[in-house]
Amino acid sequence: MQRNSYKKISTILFTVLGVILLLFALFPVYWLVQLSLKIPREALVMPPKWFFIPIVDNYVALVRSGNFTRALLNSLIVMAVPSFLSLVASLPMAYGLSKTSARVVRDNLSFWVLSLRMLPPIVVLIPFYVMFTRAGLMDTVWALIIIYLTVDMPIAVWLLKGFFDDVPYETIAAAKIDGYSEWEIFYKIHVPIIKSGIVVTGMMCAIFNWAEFLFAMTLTDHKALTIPVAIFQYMSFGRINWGLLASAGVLGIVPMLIFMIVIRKHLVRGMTLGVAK
Amino acid sequence: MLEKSRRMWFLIGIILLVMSFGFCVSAVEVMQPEDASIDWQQCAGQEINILDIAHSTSMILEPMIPQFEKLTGIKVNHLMMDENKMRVKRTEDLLAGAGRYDIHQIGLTIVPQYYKAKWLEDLTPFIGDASLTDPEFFDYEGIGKPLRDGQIFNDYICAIPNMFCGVYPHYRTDILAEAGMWFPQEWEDVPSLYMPKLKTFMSNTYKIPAFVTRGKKGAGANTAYASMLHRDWGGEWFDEKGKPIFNSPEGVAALECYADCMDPANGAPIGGEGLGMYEIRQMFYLGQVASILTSGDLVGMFDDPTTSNIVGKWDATIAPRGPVKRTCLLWTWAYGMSSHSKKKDAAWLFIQWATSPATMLQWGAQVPPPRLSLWESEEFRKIREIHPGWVDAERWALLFGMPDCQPLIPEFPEWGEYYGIAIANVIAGRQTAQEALDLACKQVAKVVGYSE
Amino acid sequence: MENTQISLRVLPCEHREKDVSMTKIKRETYLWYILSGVIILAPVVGYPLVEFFRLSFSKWVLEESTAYFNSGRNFLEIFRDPLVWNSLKLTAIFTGLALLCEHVLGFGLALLLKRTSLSKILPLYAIPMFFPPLAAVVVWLNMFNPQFGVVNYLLTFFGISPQAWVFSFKLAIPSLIIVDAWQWAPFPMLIFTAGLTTIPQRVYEAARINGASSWYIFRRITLPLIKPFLLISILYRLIYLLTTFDLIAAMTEGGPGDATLTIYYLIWRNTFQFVKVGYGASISLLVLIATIVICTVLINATKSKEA
Repeated sequence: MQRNSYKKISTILFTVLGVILLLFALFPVYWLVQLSLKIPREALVMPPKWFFIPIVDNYVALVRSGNFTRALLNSLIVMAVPSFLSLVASLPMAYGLSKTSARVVRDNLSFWVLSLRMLPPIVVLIPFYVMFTRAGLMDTVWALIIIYLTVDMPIAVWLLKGFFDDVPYETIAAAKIDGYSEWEIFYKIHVPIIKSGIVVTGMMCAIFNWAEFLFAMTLTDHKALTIPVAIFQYMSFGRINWGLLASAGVLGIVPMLIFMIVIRKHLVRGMTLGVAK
Repeated sequence: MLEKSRRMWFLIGIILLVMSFGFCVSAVEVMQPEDASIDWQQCAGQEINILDIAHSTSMILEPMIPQFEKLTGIKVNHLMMDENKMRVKRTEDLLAGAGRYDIHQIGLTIVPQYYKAKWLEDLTPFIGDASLTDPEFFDYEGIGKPLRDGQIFNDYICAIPNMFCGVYPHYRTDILAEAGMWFPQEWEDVPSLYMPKLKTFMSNTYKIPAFVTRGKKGAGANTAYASMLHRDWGGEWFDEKGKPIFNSPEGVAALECYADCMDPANGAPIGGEGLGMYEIRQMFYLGQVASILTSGDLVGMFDDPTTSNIVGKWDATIAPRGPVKRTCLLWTWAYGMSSHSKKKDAAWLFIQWATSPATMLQWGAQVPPPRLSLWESEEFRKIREIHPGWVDAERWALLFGMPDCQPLIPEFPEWGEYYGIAIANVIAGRQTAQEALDLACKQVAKVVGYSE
Repeated sequence: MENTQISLRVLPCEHREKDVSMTKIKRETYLWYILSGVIILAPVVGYPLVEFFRLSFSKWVLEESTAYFNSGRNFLEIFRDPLVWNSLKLTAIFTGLALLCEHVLGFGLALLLKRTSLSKILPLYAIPMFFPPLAAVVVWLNMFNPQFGVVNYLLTFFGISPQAWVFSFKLAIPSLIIVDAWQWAPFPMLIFTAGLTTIPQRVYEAARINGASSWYIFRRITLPLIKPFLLISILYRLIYLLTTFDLIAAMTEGGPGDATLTIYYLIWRNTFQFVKVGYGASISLLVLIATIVICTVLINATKSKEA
């Protein structure tokens, strides 16, 4: 009896705490949105105007500038294409690393692939700059796609390998008995089993690609710029145009939010699979 | 001796100013590009890339670029961005030798480093080439001499200035009028008399800080403004042998005064050690501080009704003097041609056009032109009615400003880093001025390769 | 659904190894698979990597825009440079505190959500993670502003005087940590939530029946089973924190004075402002080695924890 009421009270307390934390998490989101709906002069008064008439001038200016819509498009391309390509390229490699019995190769190579990710990007900036200029790829989405591919692959390989490791042996054995070929075991058995894992890996890559700033700023000008670069353009000449910045920020989040809603089923499930590796 | 000649120069300056008021009867006459003696179409069909900053000068130039394209048949890609991001891209492009951008926007203090690295093309032959340059149209000497000199090393012209600004105090005319105060003429009076008095006056009404200047560290950030005071106290940076001597008693006194100006107890805002140029400008035009030390090219920003709360309610004054002299920091942005560029002639045509009197006249009074002649125009007369102090201060800077307030050495970024950190530490009260400067001198000595 | 996941995890690895006859035939095939990945990665990464190693052993000469080999002298200079040591210290402090806050908050949230019925709105808590870091910087810079920031405004209700946040020496790093924890706590939260679901309810029930207190259950059952998830989360976040500096670059640019000059920012400064490209590369090499060492230690800790 006592336990029950104790449980009830603690549940209520915890729920309250949870709501407070949720407010903490979402307040900046609200703040950003309301910043984008005001003229900068009105947005920066103290005490803040909680009730106001929203205006859409900032968004109109943003869209009209042409730059931002291009940045949005570029960001979408640069988020999706490398993620997809790196998944395609990493799946075989991760599978091979997972199943090979050459333990030397398995343990060491997978680690070295991961260590690529640990490289501070700055140091490869200049060589990449030179490479892409010579190849005539500057200020194109292809430059970014290539770079993001090489950054996504290490993480993808590492994560996917973990997922592959956890496929139960009985499944493989059963498939072999049924006469599946090697390729079919990979393609028709393993890949569907770790579907959630693939989604999660893709999500990790996508989040990184979407938010990446350093390479985007270095390798693009006005044709291939992405959203983070566009946002930064509005922090210029000592006049931090909060209205434009905020609306750019809001528009920069929306695609990711949509993405998150679409994959929400896989979020937790994917994290479970093979994370223990 | 020195005092007398200084006074004499000042007097001459005043006389010149007064005389020039009398000359504003007629509009300024300039030569139009069509009348120039060169063939503008000689590079038609080429394409040039310009890396620029999102600065009032560039933003005013942007809509005029179609004029240039029509005149010359050259396609121009004009890229504007925040100056810090621009610096990174500029460095990358020049480091990689890629020649991706033909024209770069170069700040005054980085010219020595770029000169040493041979990243900028010498523009002397271009100016002297009659087929490329019409001397009357371009009027190179019409650009203020201190500005030109800042870009010349050993007769090697690195860049052509396209804007300049002096640094001097700006203040709220309404607040100071209400308080019955003037901005002081001596730097020592600012933190000891001016700020506390204004703070007391405002404590019941405005509740905003009295004064703010740059505190955030960075080469050319807080170092620029603190260097003005350093010079005002008679301080130097290096002696004849190249030893850093800015920890001299003069330097310490100057830094202490600067730090006092950023002391919240005297009426400065909190967090002074981190307030950079963007923040203090924003504070001023939002009406959150009564006076500010800042550069003089912000007329457009302060009078913009969509973002500014102080339209028409501000003015400026000539920079105060220190115990030894009165200096005003002179800053320019200039167009430099990349030595890796593959379209140098076309790039030169653009630089010539963009910095010519004809083009600059079209800017009106939005941007202070580096040409003294253009200050006689109609627009400046109008501005003079609202902000007379600003016009006088800016012209004083053009005539008497000091481009080498900060040391113009190739190791400028490192010097600025150590000196800037020292300033921030003193403002925050973490070190005394003497300690901070001693440490900075030691660090800079290592950088410039000086050893005992 | 949950039960099948558990059986996946609990299977020991030895079973796979035992069926040698199967695996022998497959060795070549797997190696081809691996090679395909290497072929894709190598060309793009090869040249920059080689350049990187070359630069870290060279001195960049400004006048000639090239680098001259100077063997290990860069590293001697690093050893004697107080700025580097200061940056390393700051990096350690910042990274350590950030990881701590992220994971305490994330873990707490995971437990909290599981305990209450709020778990249904879990994705809402994950929203900050999807902010591009720059957007996060924009909004927090605005909220932290000493003059017009809403944070100072709200603090006045608690009787706390306005703070200078990112503009003050003392509060610069805490401000950064607040932003970082706000944005990335959802990551450990998701991972821990996943981990918590792998603990079968039966285990809890059994413990309860045997009279174990909540605290005991937490310490002896939940925590150990969560450890692998914890280590994965730390590993991923550590790599991220050590190789990006978007947050610092945008919010404080190295901070008031040198308060937030982490090692990564120092590398940036040396390469792009001082144009000491070789020196910057040397520091990066050291950072890379340190990162690899730390990650190796962590990964080995993961392996040894296998149930």
